[in-house]
Amino acid sequence: MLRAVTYLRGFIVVKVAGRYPERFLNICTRGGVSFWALKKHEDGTMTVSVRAGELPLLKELASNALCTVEVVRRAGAPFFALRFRRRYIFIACFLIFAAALYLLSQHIWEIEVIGNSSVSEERILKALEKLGVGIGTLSEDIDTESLGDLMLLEIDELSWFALNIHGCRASAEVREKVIPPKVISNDVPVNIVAAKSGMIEKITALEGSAQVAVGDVVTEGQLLVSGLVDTAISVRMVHAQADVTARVWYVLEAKMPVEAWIKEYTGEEKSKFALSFAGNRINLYGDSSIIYEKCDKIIDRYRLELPGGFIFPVTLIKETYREYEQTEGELDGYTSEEILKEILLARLAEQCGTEPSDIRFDFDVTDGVLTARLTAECIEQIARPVEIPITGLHGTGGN
Amino acid sequence: MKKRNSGQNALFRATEIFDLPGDIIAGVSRVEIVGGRDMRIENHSGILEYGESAIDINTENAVLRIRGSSLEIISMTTTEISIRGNIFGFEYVY
Repeated sequence: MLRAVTYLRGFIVVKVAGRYPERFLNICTRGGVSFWALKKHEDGTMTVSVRAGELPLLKELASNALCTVEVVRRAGAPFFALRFRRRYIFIACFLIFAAALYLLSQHIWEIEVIGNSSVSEERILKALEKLGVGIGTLSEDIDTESLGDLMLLEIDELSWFALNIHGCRASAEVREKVIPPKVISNDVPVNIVAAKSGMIEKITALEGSAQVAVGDVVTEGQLLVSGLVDTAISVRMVHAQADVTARVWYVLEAKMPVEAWIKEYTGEEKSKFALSFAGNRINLYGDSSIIYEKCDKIIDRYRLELPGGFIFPVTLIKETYREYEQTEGELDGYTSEEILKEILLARLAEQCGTEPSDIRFDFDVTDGVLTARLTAECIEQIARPVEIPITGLHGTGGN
Repeated sequence: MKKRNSGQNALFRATEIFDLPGDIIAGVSRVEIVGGRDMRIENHSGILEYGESAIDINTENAVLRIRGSSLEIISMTTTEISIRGNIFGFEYVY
């Protein structure tokens, strides 16, 4: 450690000649000059190492002790650096490098989002961008405290937001709101209506009066169980509760052309390169004209990354243009039908709450268009509580 | 000089009576040898003679003579001297 410090500060090796070199050493220590690596030679001279800055004082003390001092060697970092004083380009490059290192370290080069599950990372980054925090922003300009509040206003689903800046890396930590499902209190009078059209399979009114019977066909929104219970004396409003199961039919349709353009690659391809530096694009090609009349453009992005996970703000973009020719041809009938079936089944699963039974597909080709029709039957709950509009009730009551 | 020395001696004797560290209270020299090759002398008052086979160091009350071969002063400050070499022995010359 001491050696490293000595090397960094720089030292000189001097040769001391005189009648009483020991006296000179004592004068030096008293004068506050410390030295090391003292060697006595056979000719009576001595070599000592002293700190570079103490040479003038040493010379002065040597003249007092009737000794002469001669510099034998200069060593250490300052003297090493002095060797480069005439290498202007080197010094300029060094300064530019140091300045670049300083300036670039003041910016944010990576933003990571932690803690989000339903709000997409892209949305958070876009909101941050809107508030002036993005790749390349000066970290000094970011007011993390107010940013937290502004982000909560920007994205309603967040309950907490914090941006932690570690050097060039910012990590946005978020907590999402847990939105409670809307619950209608048991005190509020409600009607039960049909959520979907279908035929009633079973109806059990736990509270309220049933308005339909098993086997009735109901349409969406139709009143199933009324919250107004007519007793012999008066009309009482209750929170209707019922278990209503109905047979629901689904008819879904999807279309697809029979003929389509079929793409065939000719095997010709060309690549163009560009650099993206903190969102600014630098093209590494001169000719920006379109290469082929019909081609696919495939963009590959390569980020410069160190093994430790440090990401440089430089991205190499490779654009590959692949030429193709289009020919008109008929699609394979079997494949088209399979594609349409898959689409329809996915849509059915979205709409139907339970396992559907009796799924049927019909295919039909008219005017070059293949139409697939799906019919399915589901037995599912269709009860949906709806608040009874009190004001309206009073109005009708008054009439 | 003599008066100062006698005062110094009285102080040193007092540290002996009260069992106190003499190098701290009275400023007498303190010698430390590590492995027969490294020697450190604290509270010195200068070099009197310097050679590869012998080094004379002045201290408050006596001259410390170190004998050996390939002796070298590693470092020297106002309070401390470090010596390295094959140390055969040392004696106080009054």
